[in-house]
Amino acid sequence: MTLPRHEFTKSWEWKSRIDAGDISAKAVVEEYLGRIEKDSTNSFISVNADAALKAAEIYDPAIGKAKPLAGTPVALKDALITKGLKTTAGSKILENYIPPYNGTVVTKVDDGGLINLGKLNMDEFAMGSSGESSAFGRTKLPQDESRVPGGSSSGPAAAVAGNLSPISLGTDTGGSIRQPASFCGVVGMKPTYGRVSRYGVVAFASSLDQVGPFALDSMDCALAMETISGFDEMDSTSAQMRVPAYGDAVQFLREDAARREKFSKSLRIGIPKQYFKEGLDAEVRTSVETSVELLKFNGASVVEIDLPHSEYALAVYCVVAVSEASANLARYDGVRFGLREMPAEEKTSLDQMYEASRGVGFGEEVKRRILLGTFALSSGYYDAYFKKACQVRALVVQGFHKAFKHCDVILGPTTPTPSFVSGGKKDPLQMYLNDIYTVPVNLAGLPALSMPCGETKSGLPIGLQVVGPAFSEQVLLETCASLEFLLDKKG
Amino acid sequence: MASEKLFIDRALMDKTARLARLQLSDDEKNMYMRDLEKILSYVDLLNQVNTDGVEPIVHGIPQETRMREDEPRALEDKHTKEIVSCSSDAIYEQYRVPQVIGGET
Amino acid sequence: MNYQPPVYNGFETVIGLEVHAQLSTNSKLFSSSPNSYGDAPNRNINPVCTAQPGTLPVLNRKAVEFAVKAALATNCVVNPVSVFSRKNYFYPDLPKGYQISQFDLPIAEHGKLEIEFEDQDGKPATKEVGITRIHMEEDAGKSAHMAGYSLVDLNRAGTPLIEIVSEPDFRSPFEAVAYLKKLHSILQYAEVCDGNMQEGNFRCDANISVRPIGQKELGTRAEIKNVNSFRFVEKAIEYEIYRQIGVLQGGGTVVQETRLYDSAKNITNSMRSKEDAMDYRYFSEPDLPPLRLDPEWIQELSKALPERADDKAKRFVAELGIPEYDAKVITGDKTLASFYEEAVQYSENSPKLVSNWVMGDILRKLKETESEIADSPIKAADLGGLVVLINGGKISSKIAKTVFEDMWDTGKSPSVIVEEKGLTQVFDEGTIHKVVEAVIEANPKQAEEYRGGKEKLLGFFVGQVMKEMKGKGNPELINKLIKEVLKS
Repeated sequence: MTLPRHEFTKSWEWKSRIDAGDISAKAVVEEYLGRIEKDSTNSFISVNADAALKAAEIYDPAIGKAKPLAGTPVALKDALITKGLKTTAGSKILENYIPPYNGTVVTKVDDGGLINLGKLNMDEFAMGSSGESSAFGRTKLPQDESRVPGGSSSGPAAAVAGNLSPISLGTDTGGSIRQPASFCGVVGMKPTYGRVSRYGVVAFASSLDQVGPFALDSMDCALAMETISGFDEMDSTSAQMRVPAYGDAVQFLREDAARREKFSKSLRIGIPKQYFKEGLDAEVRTSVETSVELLKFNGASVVEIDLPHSEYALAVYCVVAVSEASANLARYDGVRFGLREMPAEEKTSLDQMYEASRGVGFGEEVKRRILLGTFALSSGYYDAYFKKACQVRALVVQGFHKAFKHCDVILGPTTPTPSFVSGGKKDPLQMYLNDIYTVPVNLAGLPALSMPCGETKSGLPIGLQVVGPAFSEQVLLETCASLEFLLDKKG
Repeated sequence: MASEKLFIDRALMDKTARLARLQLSDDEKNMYMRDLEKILSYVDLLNQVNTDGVEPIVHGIPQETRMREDEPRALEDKHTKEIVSCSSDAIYEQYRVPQVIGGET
Repeated sequence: MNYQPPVYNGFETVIGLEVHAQLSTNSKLFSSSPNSYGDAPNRNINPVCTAQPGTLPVLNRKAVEFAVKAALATNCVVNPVSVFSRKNYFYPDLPKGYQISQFDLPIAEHGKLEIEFEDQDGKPATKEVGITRIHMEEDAGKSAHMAGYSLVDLNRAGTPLIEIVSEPDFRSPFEAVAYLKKLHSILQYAEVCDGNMQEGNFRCDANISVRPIGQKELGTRAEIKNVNSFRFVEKAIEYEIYRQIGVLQGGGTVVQETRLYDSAKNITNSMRSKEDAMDYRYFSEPDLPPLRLDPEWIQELSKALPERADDKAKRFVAELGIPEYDAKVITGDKTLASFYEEAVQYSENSPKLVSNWVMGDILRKLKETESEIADSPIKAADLGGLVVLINGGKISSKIAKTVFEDMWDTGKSPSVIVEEKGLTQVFDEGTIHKVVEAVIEANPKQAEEYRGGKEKLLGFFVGQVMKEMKGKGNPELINKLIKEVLKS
């Protein structure tokens, strides 16, 4: 296998080399900037070269030592608000938007001493599963540029898989971290709803959005999670929960065979029968099943579980996400920021300004979803669509609660297929079906990660999804670390 | 409950586009009418689920709103000016918009 | 007190009121921007209240506390769990494109108030009216209309409001106004809203319909928006009642619509055409989980609620011995009641006399100058001081009126005015005696008549002496000395 994690230097590796004085933070940044300059995947929307070099230059290992990722580079999905640094959310309507404030995650990244290489490409307003709906051109799969890296966090996934940044941050509303992580062969985690602050994250669907990391392995993913997690008074949905030392947990498993064995033996894995039905690619199925067998062979118990309403989850998502989005995107009206169109110049009426600014500023998919959401909430249709979806959502959540009585983690494929050829999914519904295994997790607010578990014969990465109960990120990372170890050993 | 297939006609599309303040060409409208019908007919799957007596939920994990203390924080003029200057049309430190007719206060 | 509501040309009216009261918190409802009035445009803003992408609302505890206090003061049931919703519409002064409000589950419901008013024949009447609900919401910014464009200032955007929705229990404009005055006073007493109507802190929308006497079904209603004085509410409703009756009697139908009151012309005008019917697409605000209130906290707030107007009036009658009518008038305005209480403290125990001055001269002056008690140039302590001067015989009641006018004009204390103008009463018998003798000498004819039994002429002599002494002589002494001198 030639998955990125075998080829590239991880952040934790850079960190020990930088702090040991083997290499300077600046040299590391220069190395990545050099590759970014030659990038052909269109992973970046803006490169923060000067500021990154400056930050790297003043990095002092004596001070940065205490912080697990200080001095190492990171890149951010362009949905994360960066003060003074253009933030577009992949949309023409925010083409020239320079935010007047920093989001909480960005502040935490700064405080953690990470060096921001730039802002990453994405499907417009995080609406897409292929990286093709960005107003700044499609992102390409580093392993095969005719294919898509997945989406909506197309840039964050492709940047890590293409060795343009050792870690990156994305957002996940219905699979937008896990699906591209799966397509690109990297680790991607969507934390529990409330674990990471949403303040300063361009909103798509407020009850579903979460920020999470992309990384080359479980260790980097754990360290990034430590950096960005935690309570934030600026986000009313932020959880007042202690953040465990994720990095230590992964480190212990890696270093200690006895701990690994103990972990595997106590792990109860749930396999949802609904996730292995028709529509699942045969190679994906085989890879996922092999991974489960590996864990089982090492002592984990495996039970088949039932997620009875999971097949309705995508329909719920199609209503809930777009309804929330229709309101979240109302602020792009040309008044206080963003694109303003005045079709009749001085004689333009207020409504003409609204309609033209939004009509021109938003792309095809965003308009589709705004229309759908506006419709689902409108008088006469609210009960049949929005209310009904929120009721079925309750049943989806109940299904997970019941399942977790019998298992610690749920394993399954992240996506039904590996990466597809760009332009291959013209029908919006076909595109939405990509998220069929990831969407239920967002509806329930649960944490989940996708990790590479193999490749197709043609060399495309395959992702395994690990889902846990609320705030069980540590168990997910430990599962990931265990399986990484077993897969590497297997070769 | 809309058990029969929903038909989105041009009037409904116009009304929805107008509510959403989206300027759309005729071609776009035709495309979105077809798309919405298709997606909504997929959503009709939900009608297979019996939801009698099920309370709708907003979040997967139940939470309560936390309250903050009433402590005002005034920004420096420099910063409020910076916020206003994000607008493509601000004069006298206000946002300029086309004439609001018969508006609310 | 058998109150019969008025009949208008064979019709009766049904009125419901929605009051928006701004809560006097220090910061906004969902952001830490200052909640203050009158600053330069767009100074009290931050990323949250300008709806920058990625910003989120965080609820102000004080605003919730004030909403709960308002609910308790209006006898509402406070809901242990309430929910915020998004009300979606596009408007330049609404930064997010939706207003965070409450829809399905407001913070409080099922309140009631007893209102007192004079009916159409001027007879006192009372009535109980229902309050449907109180919900919390954020205010919008302000648009200034210029030639060809509008300017938007977001200082007010996001300031906390409560909307108090009444039942359609009013059958006349004067009932509606009585309710509004009562509500205004209650919110001031609860110390949750400063009630300044010029600044728009207390705004009223009225839903009005008419129906022929005897008809059960309600007529189609029109909503009059944003009337911000009691007087205009009464006029606007009255105009609207007759407008609707006119429409119906002319064979037309009343259109359900929003209308604006034009106070200059005293008419209402249609504001939105019906084809542009609003569809607000309310749904639960996903950025704010449900608001759960601790019952113990509500208990605490209930205990700590300041004295209500009615209770204060009762106390004034019982403890200060002033008439019930005076007590009601004075306590009708919280600031006036505080003014009165302070003046009493400085009056050396003369609550009745202070009440006379407040009910008479103070209220008259406020009316004449169209000002509020808070703007009174006379301080409460000085009014108390004036009463002390009268009681102590330092000045006569007549001189006191002049001193009062001076106090109003100059803001000086009464003792300073009396001192400066030498208005102190003359008690010296010798001085008065001389004047009395001079007056009698100058009027021998009248003196003769008096002595002949025409005792009515005493008043004439008193007047003459007072005139000579420029009002400063002590009236009792003057009386006594005139009688003595004329007898001798």
